[in-house]
Amino acid sequence: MFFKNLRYSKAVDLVIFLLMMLIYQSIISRGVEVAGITLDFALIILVYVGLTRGAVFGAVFGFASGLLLDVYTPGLLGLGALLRGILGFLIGNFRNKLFIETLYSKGGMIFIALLWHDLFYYLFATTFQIGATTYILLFNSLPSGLYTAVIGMVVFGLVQKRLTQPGQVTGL
Amino acid sequence: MPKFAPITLKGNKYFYLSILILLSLILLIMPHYTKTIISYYVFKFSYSPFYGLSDKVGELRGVYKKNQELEKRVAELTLENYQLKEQSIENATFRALLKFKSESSYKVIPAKVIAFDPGRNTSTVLVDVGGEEGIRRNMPVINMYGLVGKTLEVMPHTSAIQLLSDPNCRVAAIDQRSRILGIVKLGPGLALVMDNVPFGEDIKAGDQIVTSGLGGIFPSGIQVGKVAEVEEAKHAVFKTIHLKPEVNFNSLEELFVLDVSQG
Repeated sequence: MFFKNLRYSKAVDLVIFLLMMLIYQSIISRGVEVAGITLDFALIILVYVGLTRGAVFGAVFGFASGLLLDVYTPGLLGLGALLRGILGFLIGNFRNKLFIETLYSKGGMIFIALLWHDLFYYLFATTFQIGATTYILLFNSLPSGLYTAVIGMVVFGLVQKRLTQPGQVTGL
Repeated sequence: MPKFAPITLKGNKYFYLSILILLSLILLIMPHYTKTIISYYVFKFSYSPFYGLSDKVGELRGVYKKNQELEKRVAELTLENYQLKEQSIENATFRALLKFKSESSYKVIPAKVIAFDPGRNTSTVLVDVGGEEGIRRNMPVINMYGLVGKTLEVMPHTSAIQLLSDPNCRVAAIDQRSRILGIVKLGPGLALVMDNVPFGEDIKAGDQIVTSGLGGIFPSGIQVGKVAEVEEAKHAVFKTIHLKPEVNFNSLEELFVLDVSQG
């Protein structure tokens, strides 16, 4: 039902993006941690998907990737799917109104998206304990957001460079 | 008349978002047990293949690292082998020049101690190899520390070993440092001594005593013991050298019989 609105190529794209995320999570993620600061590669893909594929695709990818990440914390199964689904939808829905053109603005978007996700995630996970959530946001989400934003800018830069080869259309 | 567009949920992005939110909420309010089951299966069918791959990659990295270490070791050993071959050729040349008989390695027959002879103060032991295994009389017996003794009596599948600590055992020995020759035997107080060392010869405490190969039974170079004390009695012709044996004769287990005739 969900895929009815998606063209076949988009469904293939969705699978490819999810595979990328799975490969990163299971093989690469442990190797790119810097002083305990983790990289949210799934979020980089989510922002990319939202900006390039639109709201529905963003929401579906956000839901699926969130669900895949939720399996690490079964008690909160569905929370990541909910937040990332909404996030993907919001990015895709407002992509034309956000004036996100430069790499810096994309990095800023990744940073804000991560903080937004973590704010609601940890509020719910800590049963709305403001102190604990603030602590996590300051000492976990902020450095992780900066790290993810920087790597995201690099990834966006590389993708943009590849897509702006002669005869290609960027879409970004 | 104004035209009204039919209200359909199909193709409406908010409809899809609503469905996803609903699905997420259903997942969230599920019992913990159900969540765990779902998580388990999602993990099994999504992550497991990649984690398997990750483990294989880890193993390959380990193998690669090990291989590098082994290659380095092979290079070191190859170099060492070249040097040893070179020294072996030099040694053979010198031996030829000095008309030395070439010494080759011996056939080693492993033997396990099966009994001590209680009547002779553990100066003989029985081992589990005999004539059927190629043992003959007067074959040298060693262990990992040095000379143990020689075969005394040989039966089909057992042999009696005369230990170095036997009063009747004599071994032609040499000081490894000063090349002074002597005879090692059991001295007074059931300690090993090196006899027949002329007064004034250079033997010091701590010198290593090895077999000289002159007796015809024991090949040269097998460790016998270290010089513990040098006794120089007045007006004596010979020194008495007290030795600390390398082998503990009270705890013998695994021995090796050397077949000197087969190299």
